[in-house]
Amino acid sequence: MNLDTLDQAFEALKTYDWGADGSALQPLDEAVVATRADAAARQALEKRLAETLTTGISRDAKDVVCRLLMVIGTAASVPALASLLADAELAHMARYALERIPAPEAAAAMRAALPQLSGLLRVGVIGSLGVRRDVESVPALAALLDDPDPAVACAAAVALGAIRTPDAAAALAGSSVSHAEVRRATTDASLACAESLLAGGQRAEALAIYRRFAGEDQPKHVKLAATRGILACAGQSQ
Amino acid sequence: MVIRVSLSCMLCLISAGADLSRPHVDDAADSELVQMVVTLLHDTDKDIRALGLEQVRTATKGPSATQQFAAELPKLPGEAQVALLSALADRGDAAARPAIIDLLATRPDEPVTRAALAALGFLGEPADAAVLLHWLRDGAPAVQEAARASLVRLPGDAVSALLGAELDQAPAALQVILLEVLTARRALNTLPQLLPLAVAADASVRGAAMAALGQLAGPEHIPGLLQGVLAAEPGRERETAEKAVLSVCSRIADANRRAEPVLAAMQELSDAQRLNVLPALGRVGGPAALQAIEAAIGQAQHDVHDAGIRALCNWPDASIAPRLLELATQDPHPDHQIKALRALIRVAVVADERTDDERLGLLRAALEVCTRDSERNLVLQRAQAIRTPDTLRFLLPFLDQPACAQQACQSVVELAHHRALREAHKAEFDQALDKVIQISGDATLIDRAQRYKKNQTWVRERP
Amino acid sequence: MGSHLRPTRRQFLQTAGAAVAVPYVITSSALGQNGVPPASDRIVMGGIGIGNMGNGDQDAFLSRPDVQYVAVCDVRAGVREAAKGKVDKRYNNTDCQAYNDFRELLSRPDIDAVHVATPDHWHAIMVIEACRQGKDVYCQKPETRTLREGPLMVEAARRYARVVSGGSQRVLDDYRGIVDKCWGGVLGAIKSINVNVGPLSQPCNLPAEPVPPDMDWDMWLGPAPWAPYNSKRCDGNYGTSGNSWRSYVDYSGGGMTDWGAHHFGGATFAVDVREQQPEEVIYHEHQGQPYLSFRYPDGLLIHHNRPHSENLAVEVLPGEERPAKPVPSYKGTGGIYGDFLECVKTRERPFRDIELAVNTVMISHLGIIAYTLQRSLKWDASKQEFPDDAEANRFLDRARREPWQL
Repeated sequence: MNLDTLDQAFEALKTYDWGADGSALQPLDEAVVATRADAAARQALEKRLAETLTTGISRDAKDVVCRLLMVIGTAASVPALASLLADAELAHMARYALERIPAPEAAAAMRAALPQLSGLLRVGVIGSLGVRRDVESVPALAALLDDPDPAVACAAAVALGAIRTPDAAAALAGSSVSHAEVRRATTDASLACAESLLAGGQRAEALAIYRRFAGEDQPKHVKLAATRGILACAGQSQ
Repeated sequence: MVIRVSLSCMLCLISAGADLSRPHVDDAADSELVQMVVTLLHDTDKDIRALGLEQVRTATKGPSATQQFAAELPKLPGEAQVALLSALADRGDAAARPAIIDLLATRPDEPVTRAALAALGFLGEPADAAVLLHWLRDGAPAVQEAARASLVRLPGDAVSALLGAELDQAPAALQVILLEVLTARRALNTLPQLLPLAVAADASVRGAAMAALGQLAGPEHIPGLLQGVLAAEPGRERETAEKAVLSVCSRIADANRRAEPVLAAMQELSDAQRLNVLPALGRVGGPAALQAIEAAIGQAQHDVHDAGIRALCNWPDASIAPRLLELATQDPHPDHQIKALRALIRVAVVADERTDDERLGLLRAALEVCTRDSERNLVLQRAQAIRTPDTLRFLLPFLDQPACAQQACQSVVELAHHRALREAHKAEFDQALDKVIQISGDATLIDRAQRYKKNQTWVRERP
Repeated sequence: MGSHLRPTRRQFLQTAGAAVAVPYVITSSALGQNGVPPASDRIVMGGIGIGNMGNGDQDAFLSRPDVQYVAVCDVRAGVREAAKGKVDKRYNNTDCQAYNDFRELLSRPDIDAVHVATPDHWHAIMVIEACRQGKDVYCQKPETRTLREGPLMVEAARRYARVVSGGSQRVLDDYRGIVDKCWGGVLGAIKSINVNVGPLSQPCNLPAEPVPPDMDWDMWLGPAPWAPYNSKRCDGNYGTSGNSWRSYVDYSGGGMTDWGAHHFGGATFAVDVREQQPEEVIYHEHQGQPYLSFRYPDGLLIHHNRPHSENLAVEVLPGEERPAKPVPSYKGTGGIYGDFLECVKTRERPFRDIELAVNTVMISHLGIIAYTLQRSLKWDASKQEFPDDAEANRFLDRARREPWQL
């Protein structure tokens, strides 16, 4: 790794914006590869990248940094990334990194941010917690199933369907939403949970879910899904 | 309404039956699930029926369940029978076979017959080949096709033996189909029955037999294949027969020894026959073949010399390019010069270890000795196989030569068809395509040129 | 998907979707005549993303007598109006409805099936949502943009018993020669097959241009990271080396996925591993040039860009026979489109069933990750992850821009 070139790339980051020559940042990509076997160098690179997020560099430059932290980020980058979750322009790219950083601190930071966020930003964080299958988020997500913002309630349902633990299934079963769109999301999430429960050998719990969706009040394709699930339950007893 | 009834039935079955929430004795659970599936199979709504068919395909394993599903066949309407037969075929349990045979015995409607025959291909026994053969002989075209496909699929040497025996007594049209089936089965044990058909009186049978032998035969069968070459009518049939010989020889791992079985078999032929199979030897190639062919070319006797030239012009690679160039300019017979030149143009672009520059260089050399526009156009046509910017540059001057411009247009467009090449040299291609648009008389070619300029795709019509 | 209630850019809907207020009824003009099935027997279809490929798909479905085409959706007003015009001309009425937001099209209860031909970053969201709405789907290739999307698409299709077909017609049509040889046993047992395809997609940093007044740019971007409009960024031309969305990493895997869907599809079909996934990606370098080998559970290798190897060149195991098998093909008539429609009717799985399509595109995704990390990778198909490889697992998916979720 050539430190001079890397310095130049960090310098270029300060003025980088849409339309700029992307090759000026190429050393950053190269440094990611070059530091794979050098923990100290990787740590230094990460620290340096994370620090740029608190500076006045452009949205485009921060976009680039978040993409790099998606690849190399650790718990050390989480505070800088989490500070962007309330920024409408940067929240997505912060999640772009946070969603993929394996450190539990990344999920914890997003859980902690949930109460402070609303609207789209909250929806985004809910989605990322779902993708991470963050079981510790289940109580918070369950509480959002009857959020007055239907978009938030839908997102919580989808996230619980992604987590699909027994607790997630129980939370979905306990919700009594009337809004059609939210109900559709909870239905799908419940069916996902039922599949997971059945795969885990909890046939009775799965069957209870499927029976709930086999009723006359359900759309045809949901009844098909329920019937298919009932058959799967019967088949698993073999 | 339909789904409501079905689901009610399903839920009744579940509530009336054993408690699914706890582990079961297998038989009870099987029975319950099988009953559910049977209920679904009878539903008039295809979406519901599909859920049952999915279970037939993948779940409730075991011959007992298979027999219960298959037992529903006679109770279902035609459309549902077809669907269940397909599902039973996918299930792959031969326990369904007796019910399928029984169903066929009732002479059901054509779609059901077709589906039953298709299912037999997956579930049948070798003995069922006779049933399939019956339908192959006497069924409607769609039924024949189903029987044919199942005869390809049905395993067992006994099946191939039965089909091989049928070859002797079948009419020509059926012989052709049987030969294709045996080829698809890779029925090596029927080669003794196939070989005589290479010299059958019927050309279609000869062709099918040679195609089969090309796929199945080994070097030891080359004498029989050469008889097939000799029996073939000169022209397309003869060429196809020669390619069957090549196909067999190509499977010999050592490229230098591929001609040996042909040369050995030629020893048993008369002089006249040897001349007639010499072009087949040329297709095989290799040093021993070249020696024999050069000996023929060296003969003053015209028919021998001619056979040698034709053999050399069939050569499979560019190794004899210098010799072809020599013949193209120095052979005493003008028609042989032309033959050699056209062969040179053919081998020049054959894909091998040579670089693109070398291949294009050989085409340039061929162009130098062209005396007629027909060969010049052939050079331009073959050039499209060398996908380089230099080829484009090679073609460009011909866009201005009226006698060659249309072929040059064609080749430029074919080169431009390859996106990676076109994109990497966009400016040059755009300029050439503009010229094509300007001078081509072919509306399709112009449309293609316009598309490529805009980076759009073009899908070649299939024959 | 999270925000079904948050259609973007309502102002566009005002122009596109007076449709929303119109009752979804097949009119009397759609009654069957002259041997054409009556509307009640036809498959009611709509199309989402009617650009280059979508336009071709629309033509194919629109020409079918067993289809009643009723709706189009595109985020470009000019494109969707032209697509609507084509449908209206075909049926000699003005019934086709044009939408800016695919969710409104998918919420129509009268629509049985949709075709999707948007840029790749949208495919999974739309296919899954269509399944959740009870629709069958024909989705253009490459069907996925990330590894995580594939199993979720398959899961949605299976959950709701939907017919979902991928979109590579070339898998069966273009590679028939090599497929027939392999399945016919002519070549014997197969050791490997090579695929030459590329390039990988690249980052895009094109400058901002004014958004055209008839385009919903936010909806075009959808789940992808925000970026300013640039005509080259979203150009639908088939190039993969720049100036087209197929060239850029947020929307496409480049030629590696765009043509990889065809070539890897043909290769996996030829060597009969369509239903499997590789268990290892081996990274090689030859004279400074990287290439890959995907190893399947039975040892078979699919090489990618192996030096001196032609596309779909097959290596055989000398002396080992491979039994002949009939080659699977399309159902019904009319190629891959007819196959899909036939399966919509019979509820069987189509030739290019979504699971097979996903198994194909995942090869491209695995390859991209191996090239990116410049090393070999193990793959656990049952867990859908790189075992004990946290670095590689980061690339399984990418966060979607709010409000989009899977």
